[in-house]
Amino acid sequence: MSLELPPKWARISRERVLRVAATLALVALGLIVWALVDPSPWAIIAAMSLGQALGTLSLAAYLLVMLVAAADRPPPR
Amino acid sequence: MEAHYSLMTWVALGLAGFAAVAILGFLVRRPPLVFATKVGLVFALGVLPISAAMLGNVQAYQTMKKRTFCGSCHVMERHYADASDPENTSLAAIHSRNPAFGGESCYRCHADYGMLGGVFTKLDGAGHLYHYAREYRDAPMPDALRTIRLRRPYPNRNCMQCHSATAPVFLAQPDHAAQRADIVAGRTSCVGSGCHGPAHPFSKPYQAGQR
Repeated sequence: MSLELPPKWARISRERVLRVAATLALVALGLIVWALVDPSPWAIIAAMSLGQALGTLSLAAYLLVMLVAAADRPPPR
Repeated sequence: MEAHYSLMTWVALGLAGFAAVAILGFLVRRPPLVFATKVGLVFALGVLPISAAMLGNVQAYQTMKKRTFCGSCHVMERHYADASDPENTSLAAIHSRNPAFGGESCYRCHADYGMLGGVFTKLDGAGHLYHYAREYRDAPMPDALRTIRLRRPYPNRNCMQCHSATAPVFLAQPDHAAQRADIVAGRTSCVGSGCHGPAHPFSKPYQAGQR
């Protein structure tokens, strides 16, 4: 099985996508921690909307990289 | 606002901390993408943040029930003060002094008690946020008091969560006995004038344009 990515995307390395995903997860964690230590309306709203969206995006990016890596693996002989 | 550091908060903070350390380790060390790294990232980007977010959500839902949370928007400061005043005789203050309502009196009285009541209450809360961000964020208190009001008439069924309208002491009151069917059906409001009056009476002169 091979997963064809558009040429523009194919130039982006998996490591780079993972670094972006890790950075997004850090931001999401920061928002979650903000809501935990200072449970003000804006902190909670930010954590439950933007924080969770960024966290989901981060995990989705990781899973996409793993999917592409699995698809690119040569078939066993 | 005062933070509530429960065990759940500490666990959520711990999970978030572990995830952050693992992520920073990945970003700084840039390890090769071998099996161990992939497993580590599953925890750092998936299991730990999701667990922290879930615990954070539960903690947030509990925090959002507190009167201090409702009073943290400036347009609710007078309602908060009215309900919190130990000398006050308004319905809101009387109920806030009841240990069964306690620090969650706003939520206890205003929450929808239907099967999906919690969901509808949160949707209403999102609506409050929308209106606050659009119209009331910078509104002076008198302007806010003149225009802020309940979207729907206050439902008797919220009162009847505690006051069942069946107790002998309730029916011993002639007005209750005479109008019981209308009260239960919501045709006669518990908080109407002539009955128990508004829960936050201080706001009514503003709403009537008298202040």
